[in-house]
Amino acid sequence: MRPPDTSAAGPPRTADRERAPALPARSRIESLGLELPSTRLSTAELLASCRRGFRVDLEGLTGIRERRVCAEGEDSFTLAIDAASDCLAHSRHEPRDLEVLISCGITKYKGRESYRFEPPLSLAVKEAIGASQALHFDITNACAGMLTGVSILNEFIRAGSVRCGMVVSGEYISSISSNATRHVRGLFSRELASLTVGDAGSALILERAPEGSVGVEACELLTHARHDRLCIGGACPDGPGASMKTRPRKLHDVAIRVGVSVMRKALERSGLERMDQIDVMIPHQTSIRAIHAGRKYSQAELGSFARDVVVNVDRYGNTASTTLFMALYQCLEERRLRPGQRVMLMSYASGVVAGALVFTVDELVERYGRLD
Amino acid sequence: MGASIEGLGTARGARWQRRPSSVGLAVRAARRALRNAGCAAHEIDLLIHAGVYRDDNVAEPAIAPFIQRRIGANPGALATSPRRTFSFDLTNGTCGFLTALHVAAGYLRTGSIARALVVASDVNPTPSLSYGCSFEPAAAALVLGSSPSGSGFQAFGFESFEKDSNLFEGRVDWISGGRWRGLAPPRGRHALRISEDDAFVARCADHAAAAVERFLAAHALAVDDIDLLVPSWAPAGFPDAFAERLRHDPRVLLPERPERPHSAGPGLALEAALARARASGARSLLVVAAGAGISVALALYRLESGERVGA
Repeated sequence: MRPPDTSAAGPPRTADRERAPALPARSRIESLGLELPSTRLSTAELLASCRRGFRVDLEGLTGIRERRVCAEGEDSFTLAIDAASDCLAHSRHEPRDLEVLISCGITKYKGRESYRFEPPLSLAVKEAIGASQALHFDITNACAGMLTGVSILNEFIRAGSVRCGMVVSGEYISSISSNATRHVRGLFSRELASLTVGDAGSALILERAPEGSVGVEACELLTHARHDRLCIGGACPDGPGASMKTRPRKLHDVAIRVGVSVMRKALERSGLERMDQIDVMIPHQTSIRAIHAGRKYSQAELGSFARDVVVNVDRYGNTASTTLFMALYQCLEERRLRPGQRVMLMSYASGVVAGALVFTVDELVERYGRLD
Repeated sequence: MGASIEGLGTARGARWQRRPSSVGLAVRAARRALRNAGCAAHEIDLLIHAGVYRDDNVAEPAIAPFIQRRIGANPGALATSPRRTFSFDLTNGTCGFLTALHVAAGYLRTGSIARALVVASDVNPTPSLSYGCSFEPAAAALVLGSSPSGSGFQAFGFESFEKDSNLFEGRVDWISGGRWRGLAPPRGRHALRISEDDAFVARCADHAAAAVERFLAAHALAVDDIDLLVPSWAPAGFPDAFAERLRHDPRVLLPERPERPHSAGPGLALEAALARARASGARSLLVVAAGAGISVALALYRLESGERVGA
């Protein structure tokens, strides 16, 4: 009788073997990937499908003109795999170079009506892209998921135990919108915020930066758990997919207050004193009104603010855990960034979680925005 | 700089509870772990929840903030406060507990944190309609702190065997139809479906035994260098199957009575292992977990002479 096949896909992964760089090592973003569904849904079209005579000017309130939504055959898995593949297409690394692969989406749909808990989505992505050497696991931390994944990978790299890894997220979240159209009645509906979301997949590779080069300067995250119930999402009680109930005003107020403290800490860790030393700020994309209100509050508290604030929520809605790195990808494609510029990515999420990533742009810009 | 266990606690769902809470179980286990560690909740810098199946299938926020608030781990702190806690969920099936310990050890190693709490808990989120859900509600929690490099967790190892990924699946599906209530026809409801192939546990044991061999070789160790081999108590039947692969080596620690936890399996096994180590003077433990994927996770732990962890 043949012995059972127990061969692993590659040599055993003994994940914390020392690599002997100068510690703590610095990490840097080596590449990014993006996958957007091709189907566009305007806010007007979405509101036309509301069943209870919903009469709120949602586009005026949020600035969101349209979003992308998954079509048949697209889901969290396909978005994550396609974003990961796009990331590798822009990378100098091969899939086998990835030592860690972290999937960070809130949604884990494989098929439109099936939410998969096990095996984790990260395993399916790892298998699909051929990252046979990677330790895989899933992270859930609401809209701060990808930044949490970056934090974890950053610590592994700083400790010298990992050279490079991938953080990926596929968000098929628009089911909360379609379910909300059956429930919302007016401006104070607890599912109003559900009408602002869009679908997307995002991925990035983080690697150990060469000694002496620029990269990640700070990655600070905090959970202000006193307000853990301001936004709750889960399986929809009366239909397939998910639903989400929010107290948006209170969530916004708590998030920006906590966020200011995170910005202060991130500046301190980066050796900076003022927010205007940040060239480009990419905040979590919820609504134009919320972004401007957050900027105004933060500027008043901190005395100054970043020179440029990136906004793309008008075209894509709130794409949950993928917003920051999707916006960063588009900045690169639109050639809005230059080497040497300092960027802050600012995450706000239910929990309440606030997080900031500060990094200096390097030659990453050269691999995006090429004219074909 | 290593990572060592300062305290460990577990909790099980009571038989009379029709709908135990995953957060409630996690909080009970966490409080026990903190008590055993002799530390207060506000001393926790990082909290990771590694459970899979949670109350009401909550997808947002993570479960970890609920636990953080209830145990009082700096719920109202700001980033500029002297003490603050960051929390999130990590899932990797029944290997999640060891994976979370590895992640927490990474933060300890850089000095970013001084103390972490890793918790895992599972309940059936749809008890009124579920298929194939045979695990029992349980939770395990572990307080992890820094230690000199010669003691504590020495190394972690992870392997995956994607060819067997179809042997176990856990998902929540929408089931159309149902009982009429009121005037409107029922749309349906969500139901937990767990499908486990008959070969799943045996394949877990096959892969785990082979992974142990490779892990020991990679660290220039032999089985004789390990005082206790500690198979996770999940999936159900795994400890016996693993012991069989190792020809019933007396160093394999088996549960005294059959239990059926899920992601808390490694934590429950580790609790028993630490009790055995206190009694026998064992110094080196190899914890072995396996689960959906099939994934295998290994953790090598060294106790200082006379160390009484988890008492």
